[in-house]
Amino acid sequence: MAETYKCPSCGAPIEFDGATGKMVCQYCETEVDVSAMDKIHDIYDESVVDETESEKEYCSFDGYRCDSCGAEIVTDENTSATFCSFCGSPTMIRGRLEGALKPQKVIPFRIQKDQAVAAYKKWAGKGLVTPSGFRKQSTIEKITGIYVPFWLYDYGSDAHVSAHATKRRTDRRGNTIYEHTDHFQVGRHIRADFEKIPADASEKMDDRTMDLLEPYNYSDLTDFQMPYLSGYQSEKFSYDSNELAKRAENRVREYILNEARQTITGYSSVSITSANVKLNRNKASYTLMPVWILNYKYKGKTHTFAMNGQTGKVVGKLPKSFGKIAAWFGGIFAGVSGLLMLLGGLLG
Amino acid sequence: MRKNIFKKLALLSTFVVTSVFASGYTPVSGDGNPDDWDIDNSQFVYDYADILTDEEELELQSMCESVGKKLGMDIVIVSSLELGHDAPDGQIEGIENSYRQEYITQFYVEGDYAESGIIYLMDIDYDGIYIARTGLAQVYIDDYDNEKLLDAVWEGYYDYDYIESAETFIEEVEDMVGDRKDDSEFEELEKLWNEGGYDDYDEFMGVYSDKVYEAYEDTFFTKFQNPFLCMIIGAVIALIAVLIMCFSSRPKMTAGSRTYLKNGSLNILHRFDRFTHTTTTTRQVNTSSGSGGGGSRGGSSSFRSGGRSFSGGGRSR
Repeated sequence: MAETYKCPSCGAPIEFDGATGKMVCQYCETEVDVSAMDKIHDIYDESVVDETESEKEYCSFDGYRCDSCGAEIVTDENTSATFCSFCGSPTMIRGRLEGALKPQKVIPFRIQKDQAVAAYKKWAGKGLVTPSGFRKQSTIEKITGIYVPFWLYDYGSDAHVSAHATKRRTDRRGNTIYEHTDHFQVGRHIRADFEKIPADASEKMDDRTMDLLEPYNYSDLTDFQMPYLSGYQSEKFSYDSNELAKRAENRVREYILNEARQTITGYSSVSITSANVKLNRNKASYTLMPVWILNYKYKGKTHTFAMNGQTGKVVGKLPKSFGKIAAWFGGIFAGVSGLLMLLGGLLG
Repeated sequence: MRKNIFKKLALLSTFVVTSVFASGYTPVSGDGNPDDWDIDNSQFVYDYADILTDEEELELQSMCESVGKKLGMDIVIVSSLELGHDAPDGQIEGIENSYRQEYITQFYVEGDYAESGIIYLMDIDYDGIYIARTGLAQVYIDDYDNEKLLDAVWEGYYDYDYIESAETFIEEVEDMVGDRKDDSEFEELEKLWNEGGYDDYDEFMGVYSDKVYEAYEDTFFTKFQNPFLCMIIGAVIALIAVLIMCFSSRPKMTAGSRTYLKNGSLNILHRFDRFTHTTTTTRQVNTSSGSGGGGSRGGSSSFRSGGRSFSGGGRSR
């Protein structure tokens, strides 16, 4: 079922506004609390198919009818919130946001589209070796706010670590220097709990990019309600919590060993000789995280700009101009060499 | 035929003798014993040990005259078979440099050479060399340079190529002092020396040590007179700058273990730090400067002789 939240005053599509944390009508500026939206929402159940019953697990694309204009909306199997490509109305697919697919938590968008656009322009302008043509390219309007599905894992961890450590000291007698190295066997048994370790569950999103967008501020974490998705795109998870557990466990293992290593202090050198880590998964919560994303092509190569929709942290790789790199290299080379020769001539 | 050869030889001898006397140069006789000295300060080559041919002596005399005039100092070369000392048997090592020093400075003083000068002794008696400077020559050539001069001339001396050694001496002095004559810092030092009416180099050093040090030492920027080095440094800096430009905007992972650690959940249940053993390595510190070049070095020093201030150093085979 494709659904669109409508303004209770004028009936126009109404969207979630990150700045106010409320549903705001773009036409009559009516504001409605997110929690109140579902109660007053007039749902039009027009749909091409009964999605909850007939959602085809292995079908790549599904069709729904737009709540506002009646046009057919075609989405891929993971999309849970999108826009009608004819009238632009924000549309949610309830069947992909209910039951086992219902997210437990969500961090709502805090960064608005105009802020994301400004951040992108600033980011694109700061690269000294970025091609001039890239900055002039007007692809910025394609920037999209997406709620990306994540699993947040809670783990208990227990580690036994053994290490070989040394302390060095030196003394001198006559013309002989004695270098003494004291050797120690070091052991630590530590226990720690880690909470809400995120792992993105979207097949489309690059894991590295999503990791770099961390950390999110979990004080904004709230119970999921569908109106938060209005005005943004959203995905349901592509991988369940068991499939992604390995990624989270690797991080917890690294974290607990890091904590253990930090308790071994006062030595000249420390090398871990053995480590035995036991992990206990306590919980995994299905959560949607806000991300602004822009995929663009420059000279046939695809680049991605991503921004944490809550904190504003930017992740991306700017294209490089070899002409600019060569120009910078030549300029600095000539400048530095010339200056040194001048100094050598004047002061040498 | 034989008559012709004799005729040619006679003509050549006449030419050499005529040239020698025309230049004011007189080959010396004797072994160089100080008691037999008869020194003329217009003559700069005294080959008492007879290790040079007349032509070689004449050539050196000509070089000493022209270079000395150019540099404003006397350049004197002496070879000797007799320093006038009988060293105790088995105790020669370490004493010979003091004999050479005394010999060469007395020679310079008795010859009444110019206030500034440099003198090179090839001591065949104890088999070694010695170079001493006086007056402004001490400002232009310091102890370190004296060692460099000794290194340069030692090679020829060591190979019994005495003319090579003597020519090298004159050429090195010409290069060393000639370069510094064009240097404004040395010009200033020369001015200070002349204005102060100095004779004693140590006294001069005491007053102007900082200036002298600055003038002698290569400045930090001297190395940049090498364009190749400048280009290498320029290329390295340009490469680093470009790499920073390319990679500085890369995002960094800012979430770490503490980001997700539950407050108060970290517990150290057991810890031990057990000493097992100690290993020790030793290393020798070399405090002596060592010797090289096939000769034993006597070091350089400042001293007074005949009421004049000298600096010098030497070495033995």
